Amino acid sequence: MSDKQQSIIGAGVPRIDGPDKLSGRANYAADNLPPDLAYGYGVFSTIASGRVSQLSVDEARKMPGVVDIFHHGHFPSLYRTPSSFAQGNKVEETRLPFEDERVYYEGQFVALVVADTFENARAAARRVKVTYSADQAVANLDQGVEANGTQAGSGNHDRGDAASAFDGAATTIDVTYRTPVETHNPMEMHASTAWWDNGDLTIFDATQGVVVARNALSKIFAIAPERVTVYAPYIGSGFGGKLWTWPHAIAAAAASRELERPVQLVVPRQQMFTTTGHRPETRQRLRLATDDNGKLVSLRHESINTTSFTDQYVETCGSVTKSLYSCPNLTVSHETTQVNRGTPTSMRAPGAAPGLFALESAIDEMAAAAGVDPLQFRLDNYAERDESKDLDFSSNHIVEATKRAAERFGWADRNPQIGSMREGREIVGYGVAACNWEALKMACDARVSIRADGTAFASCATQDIGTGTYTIVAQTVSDVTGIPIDRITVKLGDSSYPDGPISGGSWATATTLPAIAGAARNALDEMKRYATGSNGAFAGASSDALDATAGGLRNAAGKQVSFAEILEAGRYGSADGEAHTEAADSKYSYRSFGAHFVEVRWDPGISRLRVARVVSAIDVGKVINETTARNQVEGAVVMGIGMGLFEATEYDERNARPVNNDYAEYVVPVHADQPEIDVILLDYPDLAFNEYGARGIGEIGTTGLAAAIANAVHHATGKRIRELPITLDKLMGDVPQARSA
Amino acid sequence: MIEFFLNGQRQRVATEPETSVLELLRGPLARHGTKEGCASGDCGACTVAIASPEDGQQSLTYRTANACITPAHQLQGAHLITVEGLARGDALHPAQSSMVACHGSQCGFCTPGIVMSLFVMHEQQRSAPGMPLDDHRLEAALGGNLCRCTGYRPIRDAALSMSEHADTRPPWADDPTLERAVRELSPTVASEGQSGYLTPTTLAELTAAMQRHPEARLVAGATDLWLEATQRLEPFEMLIDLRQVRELRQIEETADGWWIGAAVSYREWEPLLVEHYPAFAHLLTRLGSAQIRNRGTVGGNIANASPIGDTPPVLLTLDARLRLAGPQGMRELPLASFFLDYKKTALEPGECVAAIYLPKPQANFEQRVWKLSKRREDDISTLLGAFRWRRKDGVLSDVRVAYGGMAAIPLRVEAVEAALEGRKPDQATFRTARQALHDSLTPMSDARGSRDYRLTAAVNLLERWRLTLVDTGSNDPAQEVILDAYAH
Repeated sequence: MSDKQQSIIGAGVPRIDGPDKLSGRANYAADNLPPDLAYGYGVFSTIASGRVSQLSVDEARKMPGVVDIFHHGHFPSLYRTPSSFAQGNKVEETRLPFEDERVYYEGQFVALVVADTFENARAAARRVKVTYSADQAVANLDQGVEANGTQAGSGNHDRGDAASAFDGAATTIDVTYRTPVETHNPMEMHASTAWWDNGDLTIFDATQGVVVARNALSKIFAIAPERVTVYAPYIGSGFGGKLWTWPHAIAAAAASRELERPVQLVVPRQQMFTTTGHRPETRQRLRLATDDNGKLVSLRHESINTTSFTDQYVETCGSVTKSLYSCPNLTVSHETTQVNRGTPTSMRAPGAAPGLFALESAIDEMAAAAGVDPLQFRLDNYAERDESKDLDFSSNHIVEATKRAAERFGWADRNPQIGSMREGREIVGYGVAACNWEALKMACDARVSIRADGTAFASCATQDIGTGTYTIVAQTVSDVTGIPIDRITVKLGDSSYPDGPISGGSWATATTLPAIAGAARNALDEMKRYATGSNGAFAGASSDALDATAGGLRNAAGKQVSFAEILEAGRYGSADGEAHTEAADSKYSYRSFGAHFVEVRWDPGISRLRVARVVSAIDVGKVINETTARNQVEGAVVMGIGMGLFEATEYDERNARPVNNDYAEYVVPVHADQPEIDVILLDYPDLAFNEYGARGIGEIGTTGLAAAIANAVHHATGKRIRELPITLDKLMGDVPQARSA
Repeated sequence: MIEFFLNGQRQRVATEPETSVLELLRGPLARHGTKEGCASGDCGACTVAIASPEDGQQSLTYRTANACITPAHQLQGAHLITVEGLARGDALHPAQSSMVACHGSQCGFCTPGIVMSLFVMHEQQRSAPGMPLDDHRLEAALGGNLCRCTGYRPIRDAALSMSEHADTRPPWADDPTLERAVRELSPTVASEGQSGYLTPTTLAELTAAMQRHPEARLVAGATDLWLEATQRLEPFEMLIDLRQVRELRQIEETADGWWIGAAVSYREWEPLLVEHYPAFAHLLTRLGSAQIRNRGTVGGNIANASPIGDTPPVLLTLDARLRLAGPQGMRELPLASFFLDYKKTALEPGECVAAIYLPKPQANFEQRVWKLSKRREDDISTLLGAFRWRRKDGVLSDVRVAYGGMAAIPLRVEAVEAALEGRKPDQATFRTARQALHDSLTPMSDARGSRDYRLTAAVNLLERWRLTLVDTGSNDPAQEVILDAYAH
């Protein structure tokens, strides 16, 4: 890489997909309207447990434009996918749509009306008459534990003897935290537009993983994977909700095959809360102990999360707990309990987001019990190596991140007395929490072509869910080939391209870039072979003596020949390269680190709470695009504010029906809720991880933020809120008396 | 058949009564740039700009609307602008180029709606360049546009930097004949008989239509009614649109107040309130979003009789009156007599709310309005307290106290008023008033707030009001916090 080329990695290059998105030209799954398209509209269960006792379509069938109405008595027989992450065919809800008359959750598909227009399908859906035989529903975690007990989960860990160490320790805490169901609510609703052609399925799907969707659908329809093509060139984000195929996509594809015409099915916003996954409810017990020097000697993090009656989803709340702090005696355990809700799924920073709310709140409580400043307590106890894996971290700058953020934030000015900081007319609270996320990298294939017109074309069957993958792929191709960004076409979101990763787990960047770079280098090698061949511009020269720069090759003498000329000379259309890169090794523990500092302002008169300021320092390895990376953290922080203050899907405890499943009642942050956010990106390349040293940045910003808020709230109000979200009613009560320090 | 202009192009299409502008765009008109995010007017992803000549402005003025809950037939005679209608080829409008430059778009799905809100803001800046773009205006303009990716900062940066970008005008802005062509369209729909909606232009026509079609639903802003179509999937047999009824769009000043037509939008109420009732005006900035305030009406807020409507408690404290129009002509009644029970009103069959009487403020008039909601912008009230009084020689008179969200209807609490009337606002008096409030109301628990939260907060709002009335001379910092914080 030349100096000039290096500058494009890390630069704040504007998104190359910006103009399309800004002018309405970007086509999402429901924007594809093939000829003869029919529209589906779901009929959804209005009970949470039981069965459909009668379903009458007679009246609906007579409505204008109705083509067909599917339900458990009228639906093709399909096959189950193994639902294996390793095989790349995972689905979260393994029950097939309309498989039987059973109802496991409110908002489950019980029928699908297909009509000539969206309005006609919707109007007819209302006329489908469904009667149910309802059973007593299990409405929440406590009811689940009470009724059915728990099932063992996965991701558990044990070292030392946490119980004995706890019993013999100087200072201990034993506290329980709760987090509610959160719903992803990406702005784009789930949608699928499917059609068949001679037994081949084509589907435009709002998915974070075209390859996994292709594989799962091929299993479900029992056809070869190459007969399924999944397109997702643009996705209105997903936050984990669109990682795996949900019932609507299967239903749309099946209906299309039956009717021999394209079918589009959009999941209404209300059912985005029921039939496309959610972050489950958790109850987490934390038992911590320190010795006389304020060092952790025992740490137990035991969580239970809700799952459905059809599938087990484990929210690994203790995933970060295993390695963030140094502690010789540690237990992490995960259990689940079945409730009448749809199957949960990963939501931005699964496990870590609810887990770090509990852990980082508990660390504050532990620090207070030990009489140590919460920041100092963390610095004293951070782990220097991964004690759970007995491995060194590949690269860990959490101490520097914490200290730099503390300085920028002004932590030194914090008066530790509760309610002591008043500015103007408000009570100010300062809180800190660590953030953490595992760095993952999967196997990946990619293809790059340098074409005769001097442009480059890169393709990979990964997706850009809004994070900027299109742009950083173009940056990488430009970096390797020297071709300017505006002459590079990037194609993603098409399962017929070389297999790429799902856009999740914060691994798309770390996974995709090495494969793209490898493919670009191979294309360049091909170009050099052409150039040094018998009739080439550098005939007889060694390939090693040629550098790629400014859209061509140059030798040491300064002779420059453009790619276009080289290809023209050999009458080649393009120089192509493919590459395959492997998943991360296990020589090190690869993780990203950071710290959040939060200032809250509290008005005790009417119990008004606002997050006024956030400083976050994040160590994610090399930053590929300064602007998109910074904005990932900003967006994650605001989503963390939502988690901390607003977001909870509430269920009626009598019948397990969600009560606030729309955008009016499920409160997410709006413009007025954004605080001043200052993001420090440490930018230390992690070269043991991949050649660019980039670890991924989508999720870490969401972890720890709710705890930092809760800790700041405690500092301002004296109230330790152990159940999210921190709503106003939880803060009502006595105004803390100001005390001088 | 309706006739309107879309991005400068004349359109003539057939629509069903429950077709929304969004469904029209994405269906028959095949314009997919405008996205559906909720179909309930809560997220703003489908925001479009509409100029309707009947707004009475000198030149066409573009206002934002949520296409998902705007009835398609209300496009009749209007100019509709969508995200596809801004750029000139590859040259982007400043609302777009600033968003590219500031990375205001991640996944891009909320983006078309945000672009349209920015476009309208940009048009306003063009017509009134001196008006500063401050936080308040930004929040008011963008509060109804949710974004789940960016954390909003880049969008805010884009809004603030629009003026630094080349002022590319949309192609249709060059067409000198366009405005006239729009104005020449009929404001009412042709051959309505078969269309399933009627657009009467006078009150007499309206009441006659209601008699002919007792099954018909009335629609003005549609910001509430349309949820029946998109959320409850209720078909409309027949709609009667109030927006063209002359009497319902007028504001008529009398010696003591104003009769304001029931189909006058929140936004159209605003200038009057800013001048005479600033606390009420301030409340409007927290009612729904700009998209909702541009379309929704106070008449609708009253007539649908929701217990959590924002304006009824305030209007109750102002002794507002209503004119109800029906087959027997017009009758008047106090607003306080209008709400009977949950969603039940004094409207007789065939009657509608025609106008709202807003009295002029009297001497020594004072007013407080506090809305409590989970989120500051774009949210429904958990509860709302409205207080009005006069004060002479330290004694309270003409006290009115009303709450929303505390009962099945918006409610005046006369026991509290009686406890305060003719007294000085001392602690003992307010203690009695608080007790009276506590004894009078039995709110319910729901997802917005528990019964206890509602009751405690409602009682505390009385105390908060007292603290604004008295100069305690105390230096207690906690008191200071309580005194001045968070008027909305």
